[in-house]
Amino acid sequence: MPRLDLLRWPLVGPFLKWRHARTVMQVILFGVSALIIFDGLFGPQLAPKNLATVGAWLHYRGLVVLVLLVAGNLFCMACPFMLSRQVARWVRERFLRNGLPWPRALRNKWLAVALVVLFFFSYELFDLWASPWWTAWLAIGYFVIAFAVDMVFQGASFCKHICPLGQFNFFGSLVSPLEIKVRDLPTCAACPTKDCITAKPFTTKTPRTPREEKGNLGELGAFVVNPDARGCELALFQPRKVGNMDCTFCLDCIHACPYDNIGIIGRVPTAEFWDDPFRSGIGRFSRRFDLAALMIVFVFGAYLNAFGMIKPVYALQAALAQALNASSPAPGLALIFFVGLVVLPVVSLTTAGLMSRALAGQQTRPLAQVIARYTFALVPMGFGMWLAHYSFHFLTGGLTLLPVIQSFMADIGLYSGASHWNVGTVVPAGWLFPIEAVMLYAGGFGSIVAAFQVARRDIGEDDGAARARILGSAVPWIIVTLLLLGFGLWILIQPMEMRGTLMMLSSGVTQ
Amino acid sequence: MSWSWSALSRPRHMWPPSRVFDFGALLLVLTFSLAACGRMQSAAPAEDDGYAVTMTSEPATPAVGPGVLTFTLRDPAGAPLEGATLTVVGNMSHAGMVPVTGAVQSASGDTYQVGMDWTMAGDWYVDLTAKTSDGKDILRRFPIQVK
Repeated sequence: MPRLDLLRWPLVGPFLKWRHARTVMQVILFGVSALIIFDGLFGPQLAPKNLATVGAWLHYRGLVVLVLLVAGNLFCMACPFMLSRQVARWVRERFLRNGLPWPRALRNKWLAVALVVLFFFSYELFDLWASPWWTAWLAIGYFVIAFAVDMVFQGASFCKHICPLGQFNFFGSLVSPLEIKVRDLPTCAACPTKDCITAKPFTTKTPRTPREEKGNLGELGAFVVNPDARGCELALFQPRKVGNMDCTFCLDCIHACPYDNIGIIGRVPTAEFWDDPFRSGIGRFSRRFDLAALMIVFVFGAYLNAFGMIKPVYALQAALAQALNASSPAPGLALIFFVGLVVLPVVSLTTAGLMSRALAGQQTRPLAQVIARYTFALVPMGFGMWLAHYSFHFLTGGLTLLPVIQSFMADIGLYSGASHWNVGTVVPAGWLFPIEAVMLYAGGFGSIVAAFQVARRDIGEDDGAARARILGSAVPWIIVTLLLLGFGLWILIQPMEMRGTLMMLSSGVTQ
Repeated sequence: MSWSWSALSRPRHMWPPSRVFDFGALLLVLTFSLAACGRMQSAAPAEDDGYAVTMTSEPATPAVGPGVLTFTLRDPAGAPLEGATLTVVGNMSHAGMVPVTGAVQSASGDTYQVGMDWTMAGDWYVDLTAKTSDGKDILRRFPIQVK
């Protein structure tokens, strides 16, 4: 059966292969970002009526998980923060002696882990979702930091090592049905120039390569060199790249390949981590404890984030504040985070790892490697929770964008009708829980399948005794999956309670 | 290297810094210029108009479901403000929540009772617009927590 290849589809394929495709998408999202920033700073400071909060916390989040589920990391592809990289690169090359390499000590995901946790904590502590002003400043901060990092450091350091949104997209894209992949490996083996990783735009300082821009290399067939292309800035060498981790779908490799040998190919979601090969630019997942930590933060963070929106969490916070004798919610929240992101993962994953290792008969295998390997199997369950949570907000309020835009347009004199504030839900309220539950169940199913597949490949054999070991190795992780599934369902049936920044807006109000 | 629009005809690597950036900057300027025409008025705080407006809730901490808000209005001289037309809208603090519009149930002297149907627990903002008999709008925003 021929493989699905998005680049060979009519319209979509030619568009994505057009060298300005990414720029066009980025410019569109840059315009949206500009509107978000403006309205966040100067528009009505009421979250449901402001483009910043509606756009960022409702539509961006809702759409990003849906797109990751049905396609791939398209939001990194269209990332507006990377538009400024052209400028940053120009400054760096001319004034900073081509910049610095990213520090060796930081060539991992630990900084990203810290930033993601900091973001989640700030999100809850400062109710970022309820503040258009803070949302705008968050976007501004993102632009400034991305620009500064790209100006000083070479390559795509910001994307690979810093960007919390990008890390979430890397996490989510493990369950995506598309990946950027080589079409024919022998072509790569015979390729003399490896443009997908080495290409740099021709400049006066870096003259054209000795070969022709167009030609034919016999078995390799025709080639066309793109003088503007650059190789992967995230150090992913296509022939040895496996899956979507660290891939921003920037299309650089596709534009650089002289043989048109890279596609956006369909695949079985999650299959990329069933095996544990050496991956270009990454290494082996089982040896990357920083990556495993990042996955743990996103898996358990999914539940923590959803837990923060239901009624029981406020009773818990009040009880903690009383017990800690604290006037600020910060200590209680920090304790909840410590339990949710450290204690529970350590206890559950260590227990599962010990059981899994024992039942697989692999007692000599390092426990950390077992945990790092199987943590990826929990990704579908974690993603299912993000999907259910964000879809809830998107499906309950997706249409509120219409009156918000009408209000915005009216304020700037481009619309004279009434804003239809009575629209909001995308689907009937009665459909919400079934939809969310299906997403959770699908996530659980994906994790169970993944746990079996990881165990199957780790054990290697397939006779009767091996099957018992495979089952034994997978079962502890399936139990963790079921516990997460149960907790997720419990969260979904709780009454929601959405606290915000009452104090911030109450100043000057007569009551 | 000096910059000019003719630079756009150069190879992309020589653009200083890029056409993309110029488009972005142009878009940003246009957006801000357009929006500056009027969007800011929406964010204006309640002006100090001298009117005294209070709001109480029955029950004091409303629960999800029907509830009643009672407003009292007095003019700058302290006299009861009768015959005002009230519009009351409740908004949650979270994006994506459909507003709840209140229905005036009774008006007696300076006291107006408005029925609300709270749809979710959490933080709400009640926006009151009271149009006086002489056509003046009194605007207030009240925070309230629904259990």
